[in-house]
Amino acid sequence: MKRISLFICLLLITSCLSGCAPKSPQKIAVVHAVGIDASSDGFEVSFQIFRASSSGSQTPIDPSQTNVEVISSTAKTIENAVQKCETQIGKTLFFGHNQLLVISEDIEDLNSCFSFFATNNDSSINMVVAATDGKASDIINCDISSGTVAAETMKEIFEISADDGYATPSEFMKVVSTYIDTDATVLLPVVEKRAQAISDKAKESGEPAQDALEINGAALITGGSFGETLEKEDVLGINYFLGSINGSDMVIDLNGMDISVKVKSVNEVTSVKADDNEITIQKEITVRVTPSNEVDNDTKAQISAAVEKEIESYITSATQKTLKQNRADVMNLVRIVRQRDYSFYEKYSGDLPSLLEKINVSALVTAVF
Amino acid sequence: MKISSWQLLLILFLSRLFTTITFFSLDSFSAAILLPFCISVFVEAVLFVPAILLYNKYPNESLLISAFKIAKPFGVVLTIIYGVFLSFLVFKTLRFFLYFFSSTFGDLIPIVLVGVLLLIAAAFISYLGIQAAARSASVVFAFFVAILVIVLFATASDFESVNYYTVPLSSGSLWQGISDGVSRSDEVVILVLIMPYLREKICKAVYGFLGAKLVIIEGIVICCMLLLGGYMSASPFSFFTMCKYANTAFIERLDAVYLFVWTCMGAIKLSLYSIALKPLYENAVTDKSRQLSLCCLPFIIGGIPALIFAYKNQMIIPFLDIHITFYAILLLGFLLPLIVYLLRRCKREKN
Repeated sequence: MKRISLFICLLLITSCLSGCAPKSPQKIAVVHAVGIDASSDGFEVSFQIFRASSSGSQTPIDPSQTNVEVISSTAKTIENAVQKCETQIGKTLFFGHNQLLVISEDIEDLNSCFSFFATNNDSSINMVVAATDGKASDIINCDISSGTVAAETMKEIFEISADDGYATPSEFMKVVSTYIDTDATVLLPVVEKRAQAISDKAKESGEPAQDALEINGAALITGGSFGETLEKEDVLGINYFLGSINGSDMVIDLNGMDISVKVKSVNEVTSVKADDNEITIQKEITVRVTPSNEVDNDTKAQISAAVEKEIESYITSATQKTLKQNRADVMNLVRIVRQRDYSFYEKYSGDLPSLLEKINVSALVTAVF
Repeated sequence: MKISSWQLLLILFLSRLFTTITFFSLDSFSAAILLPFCISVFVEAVLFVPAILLYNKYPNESLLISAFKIAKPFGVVLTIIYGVFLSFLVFKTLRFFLYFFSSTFGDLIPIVLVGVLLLIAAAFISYLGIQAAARSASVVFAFFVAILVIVLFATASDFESVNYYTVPLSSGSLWQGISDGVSRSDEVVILVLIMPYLREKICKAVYGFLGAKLVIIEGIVICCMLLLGGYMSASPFSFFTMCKYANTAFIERLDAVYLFVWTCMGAIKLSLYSIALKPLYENAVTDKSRQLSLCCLPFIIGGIPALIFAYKNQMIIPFLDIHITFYAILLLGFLLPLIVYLLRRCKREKN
């Protein structure tokens, strides 16, 4: 009897310790996307927060609506901006379901942006990080009505682009990991807003054009600041080098005829040769090619050669722009050197640009069917 | 009330696992600890030898009882030394757990309340005895394995082999790493005190524990390296960050489930510090309320300062010095048991 009483007491106490009380839905605003722009006062931070748009008493959430509202504030630090927004709406901002972080290329203090989310207990480390050459608040304000919440659709756009090779993997944890390992160098996909084409019928009925997001290249960050923007082909080259292509479309010109193929990364073998003054990294990259139609063996051989040449040209262009021109490592070169020849890495670990000067990269591509 | 080798192995393993995840240090998970950690396991295999010798010769006596049989003042002195060290371990374990809790889950619940409840749970387990701790350990271990499997499946596709690298170490760094590894292994001290509860061979439990520790904990460190890479230096609790990153179709955030398992492990680990002193008095003290009071003693002496530090949000910086615990473990886990064993043998031969 005594044990049962003790057990009941403990159960009651434990149930009162529910951690949900400070986070009840009425007291928090769930943030789905964050946009950070530069302002004269420091930062202009926009938050896309969840607000259910009901289509009736039976349906508390209407998927045909955006179900979000956007609030923003300007402050010297991101923490102050968060506090101002919380005061504005009378709720605590909860970052546990944050899907997207968009940073304007005008931002100079990237460390503050990253460290705020890295140190926030609730923040999701799976969120996608992107850059924009316009206003981040415009991206956050996108009127995307597909999906329950706009940010979910935005995140899916990035994931599909990454699979296709047009965006580099940009989850927050991976971005910060690269940022730390390569002395504040990282590549962020550049996102742009455009109006989506609508049908004539929709135009006649006066429906407004829906917004759409497009990934267009990647912003190169070196030394913690935004630099050059890479083209889509350079991003493809980087992704082929990293072996992260799940299925990218390529159009091959064969004797005046365009042939569409799907290319997927299969395997990479890395070899490293170091002497006193330089280190050569050679990658043997294997890709699988799937043509859209059946082709004969001669055509297959021609397609393979064309695909290999195309991919090698992407990689060469990407290497030229990142490693040679900008002394930036976005192809895991420093990590490869650190793994294969730690003593060489240690010699230059305090001066990564000098290490990058000593690195030569070559890639040999083999296309198989 | 005896336990099997497997149960002892589980208790010791969970105790060590708990330390690995909640003992914060930005160097605790990095390429630099891989080799020193391996070597520290072999060092501990040697440190366990006096306990094994004592158990094989005097299987029903803990170290303190053997000390009393040598000479009563000697037994009293050792009891005080071990009592103080166990209370210190209660203090350190609780403070680090509360620091972990407040760093990762913010202001959900008053931190002192979390500490008090954990101490109550630990006191209850220690009052029930080693069998309760052992059975709880089996259940908690099953939960841990389930979480580990889910986390590995959910994150394996994001492992990057380039994140793994080894670091050639100087002898100073190697020694630092080895002493760091040994300083976290208070199981060396716990074993000499709880071994009378074992009913099977001790070598099975000890070397099984060391093997499991080497494989599983080293494996966890390597997985964290492969997934997190440079992010490890930005997060003090790397395994927790790995759980936070893991995303499944049915549970988006595994960190809350992880906290439940960790809290259970914490209660079991804390209870061991009190169970370690039980062989000394459980036959002499038959009154249950007195037994309960004696069970609670280490939690009061070590737990209250930890709660005060947690309330004032102060870290225990001096106790982060690994050399204090390293030499304490060397003394209390190896040297003193060896001395007791040798003195016991001498006394027996004289008689």
